[in-house]
Amino acid sequence: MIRLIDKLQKAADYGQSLGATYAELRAESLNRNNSQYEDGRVRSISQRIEEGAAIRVLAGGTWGFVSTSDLSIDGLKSSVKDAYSLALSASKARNQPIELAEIKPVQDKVLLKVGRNPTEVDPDEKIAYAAKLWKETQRLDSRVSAITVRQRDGYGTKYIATNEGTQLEIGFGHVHLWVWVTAKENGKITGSRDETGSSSLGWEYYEHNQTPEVVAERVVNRVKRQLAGSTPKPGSFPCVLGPNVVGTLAHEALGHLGEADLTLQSPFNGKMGQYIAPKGVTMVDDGTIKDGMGTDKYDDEGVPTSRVELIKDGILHALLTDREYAHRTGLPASGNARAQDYRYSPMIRMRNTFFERGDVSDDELFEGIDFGYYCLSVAGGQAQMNASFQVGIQEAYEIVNGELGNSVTNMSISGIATDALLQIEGVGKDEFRFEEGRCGKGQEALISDGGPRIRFGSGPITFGGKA
Amino acid sequence: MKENRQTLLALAEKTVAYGMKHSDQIEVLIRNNFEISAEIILGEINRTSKSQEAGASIRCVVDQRLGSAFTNRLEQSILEKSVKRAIAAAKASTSDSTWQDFPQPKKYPKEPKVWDNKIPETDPGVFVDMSTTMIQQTKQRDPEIIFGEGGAGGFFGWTAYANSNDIAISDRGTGVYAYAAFVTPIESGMTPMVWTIDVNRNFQLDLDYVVENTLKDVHLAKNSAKGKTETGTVIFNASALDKLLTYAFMPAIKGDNVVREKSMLADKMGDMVASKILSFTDDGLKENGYATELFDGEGVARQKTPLIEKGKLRSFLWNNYWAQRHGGITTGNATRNLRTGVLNIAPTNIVVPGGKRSQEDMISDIKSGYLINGLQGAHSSNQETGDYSVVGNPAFRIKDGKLVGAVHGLMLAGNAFEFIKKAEEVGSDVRAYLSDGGGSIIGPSIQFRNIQVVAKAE
Repeated sequence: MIRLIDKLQKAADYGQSLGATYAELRAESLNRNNSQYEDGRVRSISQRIEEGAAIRVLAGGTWGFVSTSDLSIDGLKSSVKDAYSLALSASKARNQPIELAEIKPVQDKVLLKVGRNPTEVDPDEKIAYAAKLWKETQRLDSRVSAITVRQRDGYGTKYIATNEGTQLEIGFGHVHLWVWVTAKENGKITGSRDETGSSSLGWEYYEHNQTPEVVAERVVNRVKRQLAGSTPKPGSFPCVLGPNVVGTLAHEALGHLGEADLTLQSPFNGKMGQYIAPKGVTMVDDGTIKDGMGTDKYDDEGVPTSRVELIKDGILHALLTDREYAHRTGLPASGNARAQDYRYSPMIRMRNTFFERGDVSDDELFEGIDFGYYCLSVAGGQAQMNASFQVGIQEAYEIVNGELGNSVTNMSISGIATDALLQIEGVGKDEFRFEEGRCGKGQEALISDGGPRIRFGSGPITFGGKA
Repeated sequence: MKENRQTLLALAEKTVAYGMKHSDQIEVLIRNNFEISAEIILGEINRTSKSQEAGASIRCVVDQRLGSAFTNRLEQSILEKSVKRAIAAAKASTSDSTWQDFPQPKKYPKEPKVWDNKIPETDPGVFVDMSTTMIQQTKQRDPEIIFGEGGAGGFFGWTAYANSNDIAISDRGTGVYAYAAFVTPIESGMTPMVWTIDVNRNFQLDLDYVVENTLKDVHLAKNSAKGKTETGTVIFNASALDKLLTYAFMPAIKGDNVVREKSMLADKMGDMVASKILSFTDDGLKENGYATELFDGEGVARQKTPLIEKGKLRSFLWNNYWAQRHGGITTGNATRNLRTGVLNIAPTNIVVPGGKRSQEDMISDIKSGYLINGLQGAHSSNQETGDYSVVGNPAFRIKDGKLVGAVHGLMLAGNAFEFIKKAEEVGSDVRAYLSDGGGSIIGPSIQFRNIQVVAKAE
């Protein structure tokens, strides 16, 4: 029986024989599980095996792409032929042919060693986790009236073979948890969310790191503050943003502008080598950090991942690239080409994005703020190409005379990221925890982000409250 | 093409027959969808793609325990293995005392006209040509514009549903789309990205509209205007309104949230919950609607459901499971994520009837206000309280009856349940937009009064 990687290689070589400049076959064979638990009941529990391949061919200066679940050698060759024809169908319409940065082809097998393969954990145990989480939230606060717990995990192997000789077999796995808790009091209904996960640990992540008790305490504290919170004031105020919000700002507001495919249509265009933030501010995307949700050894083009200092000591220093944009910009291929799965073509995506720690103490960050806000936890965020960002905040406090005051509820912050960067007044020195999450840029990617507490002066950040 | 539909239905029925031997109840939903597209990136065609999204979702019930499984391989032997996995999942699940049954057979409406034979047979080169046309038109009209993203494509597919209550039904659908997203450099950096999409279930696309409408918005965005923190008049186009409704209002219309006491509208049936000038209908059979199909994710016939009539709450949206728990009847709004097995409730085509005056005429009467064509961050709204705090982007300043430029960083904050009571005029410019809720909104621009806007400090 021919191994899958060998079939992919034969099909990639066939692409070259047709005349393709580049032929890449990515395949995956994964077990995936999903479950949803609501208020003491299992709403759905689903198991699946997914096998499929993504065929990408560069011919005549444009891409042709086909996805298929037919992994036979004949099926793969037929898809390669289709992708080749698709590429040629557009080649005449393109003025500037697409070229790829050269890389050194690699042959490697990357094993993923987890304590407990999550796809082999008995569903009873997963349901018991959700049930315990439900009971724990109710124990912590009797006003908790509903819960939705979504668990998902995957485990298996991804394969990449190209006509250039790259051949990779990569162990792949993840666990992911999303929780929404609803609480009621005197006719008021509100909710808070929590999201966590790991792509380096298996089920043991829930046994040792994110136990039901740990997750319940975090999400219940948020919903308590939502119930107790007052309405924020509208306008611009000085503020201190906590690690979760700083991470979201790094990812949404700045990281996307540093993705080379978007940089060319963003305010970062033409700013390489220039100061875009005060000295001492450094922001990084790193695909190599231990246990990061976005960590991989190679990207989906077979390029080794790397640490990319997007902003180094205040200067726009580098961009995230795939091979196409590395060639186009003259920058190194940074290992940021990622595809959600075999149904998608790789595109430039972040991995683990964060601000580096600074040298300012907590006391100094809050000192001298007569009135402002301390924003702790994010309810979602979104950026636009004019560097406009919006971050929903589900946990925040007033700062009054340098001290934490009342909690506030249902607030969001916004601004123009390129303006806000220049108004950073202090970067905290404390260690921080990365938050795990998902990014949607047309496809889903598992990512993490974080950073130390950062203080902004009054002006660049607007608070969307009610007058 | 005919064989595709029959083959899927036969597979579904065979799988149900197999599953009946091993479980109390079973249902099978099979989809086989294809898409061909040409994609523009930075003013050049970057990629031509052909993708297939095939999959079967199986739900089995054993002793009132529900389990599901998915496979992307549509072969009888694999489907039978998936039945076994669904049964194993059911056995591992907890008993649900509220579980009753899968849907029963009912009469289906006349099959909606959402199939065009030309689309599955279209050569990918046609979509390349359409994309090239849009690139050339844009260059001719304004060579300074950055054609950030865009393209054209077609989709077609078949769905089959069968269950142990003798429902066995199939459907088919096609569609084409073209879209363009532009930015252009300005003194302060870059305009917001503005975009237009045209979608049609038959092979008819208005490429001129896509290019011209996007150019109109990006040209307007080139001029920056100052905003003012105030409570004032704001016009939302239907696309921006959809985002606010999807995340801050529609959750309260969904039956599962009503049963779980998560809906602020749970006890408001028949009450005035919106301005009397507003009516919303969910129409799963709307002619040419993006979300139009014969049946929903549980094989139940799609239908037309008035949600709000002249401000009064008329119905919630239901799927079979939550309707049975509530003691009511499904409205055919089951939506299914094949892969995760989760069955939710979602709107199809939200139809908002238009008014008499054009958006231009409405603007001409406004001394000071804003036009909101896009929203950032609506998904971070509190889906239970309806509180929202979002950025209008693109947001345009209206002064003395004219649009004067784009306001950067204009926030809007308030509560969606209060917001929709403040509608004061419905425009005549009814258009279809894709909805963040998965379907579409077919509606006009709507003018609201007393809306809190927060301008960034200058």
